Amino acid sequence: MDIKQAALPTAAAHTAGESAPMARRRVLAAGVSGAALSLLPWLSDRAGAQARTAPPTSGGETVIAPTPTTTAPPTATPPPPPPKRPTAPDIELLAVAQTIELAIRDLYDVALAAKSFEGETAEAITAIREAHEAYAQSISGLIGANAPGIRSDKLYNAQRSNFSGSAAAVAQAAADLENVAVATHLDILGSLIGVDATGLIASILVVEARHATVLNIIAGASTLSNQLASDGVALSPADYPVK
Amino acid sequence: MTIMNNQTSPDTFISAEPLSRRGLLRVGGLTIGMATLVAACATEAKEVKPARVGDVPPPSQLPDAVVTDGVLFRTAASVHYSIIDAHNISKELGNLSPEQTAIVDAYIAANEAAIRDLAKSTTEAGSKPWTCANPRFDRVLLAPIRDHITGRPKTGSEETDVAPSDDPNRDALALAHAMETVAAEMHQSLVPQLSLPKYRTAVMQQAQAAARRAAALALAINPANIVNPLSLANANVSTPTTVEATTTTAAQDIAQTTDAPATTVATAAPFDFQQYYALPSQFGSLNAVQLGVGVPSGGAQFTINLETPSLNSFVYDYQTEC
Repeated sequence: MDIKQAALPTAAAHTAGESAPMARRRVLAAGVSGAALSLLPWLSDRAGAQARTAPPTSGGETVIAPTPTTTAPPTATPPPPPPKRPTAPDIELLAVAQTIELAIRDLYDVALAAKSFEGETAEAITAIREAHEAYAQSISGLIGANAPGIRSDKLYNAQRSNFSGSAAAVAQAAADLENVAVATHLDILGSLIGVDATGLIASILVVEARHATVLNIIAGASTLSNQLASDGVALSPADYPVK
Repeated sequence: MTIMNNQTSPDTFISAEPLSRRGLLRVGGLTIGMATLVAACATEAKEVKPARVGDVPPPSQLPDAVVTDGVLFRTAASVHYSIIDAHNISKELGNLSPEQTAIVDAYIAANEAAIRDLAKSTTEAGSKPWTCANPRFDRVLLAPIRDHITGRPKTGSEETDVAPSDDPNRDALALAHAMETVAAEMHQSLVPQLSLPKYRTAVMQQAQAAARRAAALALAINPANIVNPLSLANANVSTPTTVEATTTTAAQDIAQTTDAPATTVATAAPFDFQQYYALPSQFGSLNAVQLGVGVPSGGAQFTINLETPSLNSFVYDYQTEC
């Protein structure tokens, strides 16, 4: 059988009057088909299964479930955060706190120079003395050039005579002074605004409370209530102004 | 006769004429244009519930967890309740002496007083006082501590049973000391989180009282443990001399003429149990309190970190049941 070369369907095979309407219709059909295909993913999302809001009943009927409710009370709004850095009034209070810490450090120097303590007790007193110096330095780090860097002479002179004598007597005086420091810092804490300053004063006073207990025990407190005694009276910044 | 050739039938063409490049571009452009038009005209649906296959219950709505001053006070009270539970564990399991029992009883009373003060602060801050222990604290911390004092059979993937403590008294006092230390740290950690200065003073009143209790108990456990040696070193104070167990090694001597093998004689070092100091640091620490309890095994003791409360252990206002 002969295989003949077929003639290509050229324009010559179709008249212009027959082909033009047919081509336009087919092009439109192709366009619509293409549009439908391109929209298929979008439509399929909408046709997907939806979460059922109510379980079907045994009878096949669907009952609208009540809207889930929470038992939470009306939402409380958190308060605005306080400032981080010390405010101007904070700086004045911190300056007073530093003069008190330096006065306490110098009072421990008096006790150590008088050699009231020996051995482990002397080591503990030295460590407590160093701690108070560290507190003063930390306050300097917080308020910078506003730090007075000097002790409160009023406090130092009032307490100086109590820090030389027997170990028990000095320890008791030191415990009382630590309790005064704790009370003073608690008082200051109630007025501070800046978060950095409150964090520092809190970390200082919680250890000064430990100092007081240790010193009470060194002083010979035998009962638990005496060891935990915390009857310090806060110093007023007005009475101990920074010169 | 049908002519056979290698061309498809003209009837199957998409158009009557072979598509030119221009024709293809025209069809493509028309398709994109129609798709854009339809998409632009469609209403925008907010996908509140994403498409899902199958039947699922609606997700439960978690209540808002807002950290307020009241929540912090409620949390502090809950931890004090847990501390009382811990002190009762000490009394129950620690074979305490009458003096030690008196100390722990006094500490329980002090924590009860703290709870009363915190309840007042909670009400003042606009929340309802919390009246029971912190559930997470009890479950995550107290339960394993108790297990390592009493001992228990192995569970789950554990390979061995938990052995009972070799010295319940030591562990009970360590537990009591750790709890008071945690109380002090907790209140100190709340200071920067509270919004009003008067609330900060209130929590630090509790912190300093708990710190005193911890210091007194540290000295009751060991009167020599006044200052942490690290603090002494920071203060440039000579640290106390400690005598450590030494290991004597007769190393191989290459000049040795005998054929005797080198010998190593090691003296067994006693286990160094955790030490608690009245003055552990110069500043109040917020680090986790490490508590070691139980019988040492393999040169180590079960040690648990006691953290101050945080977001996962706060007692929020929506929590209404103990």
